[in-house]
Amino acid sequence: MTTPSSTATPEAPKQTGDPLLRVEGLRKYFPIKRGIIFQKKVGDVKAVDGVSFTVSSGETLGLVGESGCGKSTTGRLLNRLLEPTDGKVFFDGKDVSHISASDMRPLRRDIQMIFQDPYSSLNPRHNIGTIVGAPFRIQNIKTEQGVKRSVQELLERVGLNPEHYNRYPHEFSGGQRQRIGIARALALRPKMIICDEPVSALDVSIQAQVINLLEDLQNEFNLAYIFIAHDLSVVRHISDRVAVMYLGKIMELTDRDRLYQEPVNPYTHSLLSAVPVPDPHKEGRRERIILTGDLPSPVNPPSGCVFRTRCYKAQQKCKEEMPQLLEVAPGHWSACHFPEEKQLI
Amino acid sequence: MSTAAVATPEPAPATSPRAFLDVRDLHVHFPTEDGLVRAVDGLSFSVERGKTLGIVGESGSGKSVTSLSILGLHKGTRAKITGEIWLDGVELVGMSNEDVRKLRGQQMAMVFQDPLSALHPFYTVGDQIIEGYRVHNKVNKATARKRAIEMLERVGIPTPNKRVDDYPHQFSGGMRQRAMIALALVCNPQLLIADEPTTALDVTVQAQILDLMKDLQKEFNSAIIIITHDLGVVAEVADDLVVMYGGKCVEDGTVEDIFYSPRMPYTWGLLSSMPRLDRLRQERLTPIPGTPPSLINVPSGCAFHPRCSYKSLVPGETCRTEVPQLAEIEGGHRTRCHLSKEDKERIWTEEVKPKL
Amino acid sequence: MFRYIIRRLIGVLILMVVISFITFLLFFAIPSNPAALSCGKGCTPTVIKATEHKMGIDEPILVQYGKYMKGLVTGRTFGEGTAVNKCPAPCLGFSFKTDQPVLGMITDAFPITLSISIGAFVLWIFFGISTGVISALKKGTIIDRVTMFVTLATVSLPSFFTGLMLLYFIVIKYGLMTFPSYVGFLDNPYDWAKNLLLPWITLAFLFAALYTRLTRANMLETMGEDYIRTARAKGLSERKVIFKHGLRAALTPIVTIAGLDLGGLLGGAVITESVFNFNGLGRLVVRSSTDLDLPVLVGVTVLAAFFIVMLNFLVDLLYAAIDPRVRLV
Repeated sequence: MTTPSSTATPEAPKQTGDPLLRVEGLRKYFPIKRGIIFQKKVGDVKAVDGVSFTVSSGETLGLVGESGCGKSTTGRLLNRLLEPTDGKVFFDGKDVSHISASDMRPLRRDIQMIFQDPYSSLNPRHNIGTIVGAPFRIQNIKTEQGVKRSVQELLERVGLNPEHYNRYPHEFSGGQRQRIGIARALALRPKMIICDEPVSALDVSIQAQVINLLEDLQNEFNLAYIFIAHDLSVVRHISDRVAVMYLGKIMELTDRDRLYQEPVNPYTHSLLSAVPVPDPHKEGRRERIILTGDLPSPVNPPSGCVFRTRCYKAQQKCKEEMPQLLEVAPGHWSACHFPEEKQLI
Repeated sequence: MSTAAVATPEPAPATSPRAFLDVRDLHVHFPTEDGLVRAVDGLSFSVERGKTLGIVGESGSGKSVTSLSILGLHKGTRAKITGEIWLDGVELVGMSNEDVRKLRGQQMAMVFQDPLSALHPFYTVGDQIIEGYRVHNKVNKATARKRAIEMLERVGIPTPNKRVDDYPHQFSGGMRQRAMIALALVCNPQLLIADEPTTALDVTVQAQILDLMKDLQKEFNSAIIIITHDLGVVAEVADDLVVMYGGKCVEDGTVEDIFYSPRMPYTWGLLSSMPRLDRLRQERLTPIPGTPPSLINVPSGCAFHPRCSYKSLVPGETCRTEVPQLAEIEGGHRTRCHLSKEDKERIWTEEVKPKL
Repeated sequence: MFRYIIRRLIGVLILMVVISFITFLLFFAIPSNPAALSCGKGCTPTVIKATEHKMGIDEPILVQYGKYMKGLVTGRTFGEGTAVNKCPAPCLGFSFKTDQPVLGMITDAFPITLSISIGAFVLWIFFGISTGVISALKKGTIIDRVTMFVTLATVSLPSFFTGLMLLYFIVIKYGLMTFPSYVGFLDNPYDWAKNLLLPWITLAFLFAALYTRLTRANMLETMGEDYIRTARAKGLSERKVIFKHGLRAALTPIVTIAGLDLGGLLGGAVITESVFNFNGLGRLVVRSSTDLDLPVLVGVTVLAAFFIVMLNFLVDLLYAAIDPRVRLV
């Protein structure tokens, strides 16, 4: 496992047992079509381009990157809101990459999702009892105490008043709505929850409440989280391991402390150095790598290393050869021809 | 005390030398069907040229309403504005709408949060900048166009003589915000208000834009007000800070004061509830309990008291019944809190600071 | 762009073919026989048979349809021996009822419908949009409330009622005008407009009310956009903010609806034409459907569909010209 190999899947240290989720070479290309009557394909948006990772039970994997890096698409591929173009997804040892809609049903119990916008992801015409109880009805599950009791228990568990069973989403604040979303995701006791920017629409003081709740629930139910976010501080706080994505590819993947203290990939360096810290003295002394230019188009990504057009270390080799995601130290994977350890915080 | 935002004692003598921008006891109230929204309720601050004031607060704290009222954009609406806003020795609140309009874009300009929706989708970036320039400068189109290209180049848009004819949707997010800044600065305004200028942007783009704003400030010696919920952003660019809660300033002072010796429970709460990259990872975040208040139903007394963990240290029901005054701690650092000076110092050094 | 236009035009053509075919099919689904209808009293099966043959409806639908399409392109000859009726391309056939060439009937009726529709269109666009804008800018005031009430009342008035009321009060009771009858624009533009005034008002009345409400809603939405705030922050005068920045964006969706409404009217403003007794396309289609006059019916239907589809296409082109984000591919 320590020998660099381009086909290996970066995974958690062995002692955590068999991974709950294993993703190998996952790809999602959105075809670009032209023509009204007869359409022909003229190219692809390479939203996710060969992503591999594992997640164990009870573990949180953070997916960070800037908009357009493919992190949200990856999340949608995992619970099959999108159909992958290529690659394999194993959940609980079973290949679920292309299973049919009817086989998806049991999988949907195990993999749930929480969305960014608590305002638009809840149906405004349903009361929260209906919203949180929907998973039971859809999956046709009868609980011992009846659906209503179960829903009320869930509401209580996420810190909402169970007497608010009959209220409607607009009667709740942003943080409370996100709690409703969490209760709904939790209803069927899933093994994994994909959290897509779950706190970025919330105020700072409310953010902390929701993050703490997510952590408590993880401990209680041994949940695995895939935590998709652009806020590097939040990701560090909640994740066990973190994958940094850029233009549909994983640039660096390792456990949280290593990634934030000894990152080796120049893209991770630029990201970390760009985060402003609430400390004016440190702010003045920090080294800052300012990226130039814009994100290249995912339709026509740069040759070789996708980051080379904006990288401060780019050389000829980066143009010619695509760096593989290699294990530079046990459990520390990076895709770069010229890795260098750098302390940025 | 070499600060820019000289704290104004509340009943200011009219003859006192004024700062470049001096806001005094500003109230902005909106009558609505549900009741009176006290969006801003007695706010005072000042900014000198070449300095940056950060206004920090959560949604509904009144920070954006403040900026719009400085620009006079609430004039002609139902908003009831009282207080004084002095810009370079001229009072704006009592001024006619038409006179304030002449200052907008010319003396004071604004950069908004989401540049895609803040730029008109049907006009080219160049036309929008040209229009902004020609409102205040009697020049022909060609001259204004040259000026627009110059500004686009200054804010770092590559090949500006081509991009000037692009539409906003043809720009990337970061470039749009640069164009927005070019539009705001085209008439050399001395006051620039940036309302969450980087919130919609990615972190690497945010760094570029903050850098640009700092450079431009050096070049034009303008006064900047930056409104944000991100303490990291203000730590990077601001000289002075106003922390707002429930339409009021609850703490103000220099950036040093607020980050290294905050003296108000809400500021403590903000600092300790956010995960920080520059500190060791905490096992658990310390959130502020409860939710921000509704501006229609601001809690009695201190607006923060329902969420405050230290109110038991104040004798009696004072926190609930009496609105605390914005009182000086030392040298321009002020807080709005009933806790005694000693308690504030002790709680910060013994309880809050060690946990950050 | 050029390729886009070509592709759209091909699409229009295909649609025309489909619509004419469907009209054919529907016609034959009707259980009555036009030949029997036209032969009057003392009818015998042989006469009906002969009439059917003369009309060409004794053949299978597909053959009839094929002949019809061929006639459109190359012209057609009806009848045999001495009673030959030549019909040059584009041939729409002869009316079952009057034996007139359908093309001629349509070209006679169309100018009337066109005159009514265009005039009413100009009126309702002008009044609808201007009152809509005023109402939006004065939201919540007495002006706005009165406008909204009046438009609501107007929308609920059917146009035959408006038309008859106008006729009753203006023509019959007070004699301010003589009863309108169509005069060609080229014959006498003044009389043309004078005679069309009442039909225009009748038709525009309903639409103007709808457009007022639509404009008001769009304008209110647009004036709340961030870019309006930016325009104000630049120091633009309120007039410029409203007309250059607000109205332009607010009118874009109205372009679509206006195009479709006009297209619909060009196929015949049935009620208005009937109330004022103007022989436009609308009345033609009503008459030909009661008479089971297939050739006229197909001709007018295809023409009406043509207007709707073409105006839809023009609206798309216009939309791309107004909104730079729309790309025609």
